[in-house]
Amino acid sequence: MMTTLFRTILIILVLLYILLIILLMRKGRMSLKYSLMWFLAGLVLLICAIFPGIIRFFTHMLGIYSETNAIFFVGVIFLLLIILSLTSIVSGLNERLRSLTQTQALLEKRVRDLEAAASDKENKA
Amino acid sequence: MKALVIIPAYNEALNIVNTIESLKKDCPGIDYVVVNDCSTDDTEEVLVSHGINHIKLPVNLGIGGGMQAGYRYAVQHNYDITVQFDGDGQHNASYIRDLIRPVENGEADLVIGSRFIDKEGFQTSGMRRLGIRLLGAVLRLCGHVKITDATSGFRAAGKDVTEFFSRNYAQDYPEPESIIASTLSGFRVKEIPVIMNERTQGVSSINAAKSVYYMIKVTLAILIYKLVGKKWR
Repeated sequence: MMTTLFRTILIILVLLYILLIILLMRKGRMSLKYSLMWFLAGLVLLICAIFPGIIRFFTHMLGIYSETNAIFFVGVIFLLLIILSLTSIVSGLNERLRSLTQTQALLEKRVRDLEAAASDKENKA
Repeated sequence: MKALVIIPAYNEALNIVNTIESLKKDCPGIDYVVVNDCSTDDTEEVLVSHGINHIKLPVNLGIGGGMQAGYRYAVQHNYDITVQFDGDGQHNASYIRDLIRPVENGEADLVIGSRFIDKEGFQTSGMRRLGIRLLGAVLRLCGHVKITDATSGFRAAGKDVTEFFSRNYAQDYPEPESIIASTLSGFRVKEIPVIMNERTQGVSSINAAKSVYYMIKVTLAILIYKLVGKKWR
């Protein structure tokens, strides 16, 4: 059974959390693309806190002892998904950074070679 | 056929000149490129002052990313064969011809120089040999290929493999991973005997504490390659 106190705390925390996301976005520290999944997670928690009936239904259906546990369960699932997507994002960034680094290095070498050839020509002339 | 020797170098200021000298002595006229993986010592100054052909990475990518830069350079300049040759003095330039030959003759696409076929020269510690044996067993199981020296960084690659590596190359411990990626992609991998030296300067990138982690990681990587079955080509 979710007590009113717990629900109130949950609602306040989720609201603070959504506020934090908005703040980060306003400062340009989080891009819209990546904020969506965090918003979604917050929204689900908020709905669960406001309408405990949903959680009660799931708790009974899945045979979980307490509704608080069901809330944690939903939270953990969301966290896992978000962390997984973060790893995927990091992998993508890593790939692009490596490719860029190599391309820059190859271009830098070409510039160096071209400069050397040009100064050679100048010396001969 | 046009061959390029790629020499990955990280903090090899003390070795690199000797490496290039021995390369020029044993393989006169061969093209080479040193990949300076953002060394923190004065490797770059040594390379510039000796007029050594090199690529300078702006950030450290590790051996995998560095070698891949070399492969991309080879593709850009249309080389037929690439040879990986370490900058720390462990490899003997006199074997480069032997390494290239099977590729030239069309017998193999990737040729690995192995210390453990003739068991001559520097043989590394017993624990490491055991680890390399285990990796060989995993490779045989997953890739159906007989490799005695999976961690050897002394290798020659044909044009197709070079092109393949320039697009896909394992990043952290690339030697064993690139073997499995190559065989699973249908390339022919072959080993030939070589003699290696004990490194003269500097320390190996893999210390004792990291060895166990290395073994687990590489074994997992090979299994995952097999499992995922990604189309690499």
